[in-house]
Amino acid sequence: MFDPSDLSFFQLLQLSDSALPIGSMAHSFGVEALVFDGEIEEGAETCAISMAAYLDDLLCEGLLVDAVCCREAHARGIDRTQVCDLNEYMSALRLARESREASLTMGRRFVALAASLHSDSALLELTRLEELHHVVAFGYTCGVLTIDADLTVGSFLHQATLNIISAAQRLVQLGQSRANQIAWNLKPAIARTVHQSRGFPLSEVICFAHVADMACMRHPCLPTRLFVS
Amino acid sequence: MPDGALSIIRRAAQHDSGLPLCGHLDVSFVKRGNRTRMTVRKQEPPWRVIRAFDNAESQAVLHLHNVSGGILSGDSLYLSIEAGPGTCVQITSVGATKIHRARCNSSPSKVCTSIRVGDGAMLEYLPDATIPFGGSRFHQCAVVTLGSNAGLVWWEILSAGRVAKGEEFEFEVFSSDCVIRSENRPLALERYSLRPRTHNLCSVSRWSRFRYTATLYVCRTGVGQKEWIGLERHLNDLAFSMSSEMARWGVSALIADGLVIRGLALEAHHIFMGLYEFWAHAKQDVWGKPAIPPRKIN
Repeated sequence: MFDPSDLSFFQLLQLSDSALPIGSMAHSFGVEALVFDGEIEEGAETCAISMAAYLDDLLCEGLLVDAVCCREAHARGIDRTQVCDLNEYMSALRLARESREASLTMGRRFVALAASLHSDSALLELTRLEELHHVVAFGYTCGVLTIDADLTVGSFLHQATLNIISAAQRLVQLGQSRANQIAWNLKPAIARTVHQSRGFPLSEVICFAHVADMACMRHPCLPTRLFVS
Repeated sequence: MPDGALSIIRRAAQHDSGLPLCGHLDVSFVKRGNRTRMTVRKQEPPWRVIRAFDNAESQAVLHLHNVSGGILSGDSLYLSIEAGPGTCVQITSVGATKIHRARCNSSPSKVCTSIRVGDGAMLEYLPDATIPFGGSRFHQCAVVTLGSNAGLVWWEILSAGRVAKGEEFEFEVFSSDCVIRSENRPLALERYSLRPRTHNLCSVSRWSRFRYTATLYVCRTGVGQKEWIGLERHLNDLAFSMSSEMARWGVSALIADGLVIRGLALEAHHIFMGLYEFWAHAKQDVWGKPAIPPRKIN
């Protein structure tokens, strides 16, 4: 039963809002290069199908890794233990520099904002880390705030997919209605990924997305760019 | 007949009878004067190495043989390479690594590789493509550890199967777990499992329309990140000029000490041409030396 006096739900809504001022709107998360390479179609009729398939893939691969990492960071936040190894792991796993730097920049901004909103020594400690990925910062902060682990992971995935859809809207002929339909239809896939991330040690999580990774690698050299990554 | 030879014959007979093999190959390299010398510490079938010879850049070039002609169902193969301080080593295979169909109920065949590149050493690991046949089950793992001022050029080429024969993504599982690390931190980590029967490998984010994928790592510990980002820019220009309908390339600096080059192609020769091109540019840039393609026995 929802208890309105429990502020954690409202705190989560704010922290997982894609409009949170941490710079996520400046990144396409690989979509811009995938459109350039012709992997995501630009046409009004085909781009929605293309985007839905891509997001479904992501939820089985890269976003599953994020989900597992988010859950692990959440547990560390509850225990208030260090997360350096998680950040090193994510940095080694994210081979594309721009995407890695985007994640690190958003992580630092996220925790700076969270620490200014909620006074806590563990969050303050986190702001001192030079290497802090967004997913780690998000999971850890929600752990400190004792927000439910599944809700934390689900919210992270939800805002990540919304950010990608939002980037696609600025790159291809994807209108509001279709964009919302994609986001709506993805909910079961998000729930599946949240479920899969339970009891999955980070050291065993797997990911194969060579085309998507390569798109992120190629992004710095695109002839024209709307996005930072 | 010496015990070692008897053991080889026994094990070869075991393989001929279809029983899986557990074979180790353990080689080390040391610097003696200006030359790099190899010692074979352990060698079991199907592994076979003959000798290392010097190339024009004074690298000790070693060919890895698999005398059984591929990786058979249930095989467990272990490869350990230690490039001692100051050594220059180049390792290659004598042909594609063919992963044969698995027998019913057999465990996945596996190859585990452990490589240590000592202080000031340089190792190039340049095998041919890996081809997972229809019905194969395979797992590979590799751990590469770099000392200080240690260099690594490592590539891996994976095909969708026997593409020329029209056999694409018919293997059961191909999984991989590889890490490259310096003394301080992991630099690159790839862990994946390809299961074409349950995942659409031709999807947008995985292989798309391509049938060959390649990854090339170029690492040298101690080189600053600014240099790697500069090289990334240079090689990405090359990547764009080499990309076409037939192949696509991308380059990125790692978190530290290196960069990764990834290629996707419809045909194998595009991958090899690209890899040699990137290798040559990167080696000249990072070490100021030419890339010497390994002499092939075939």
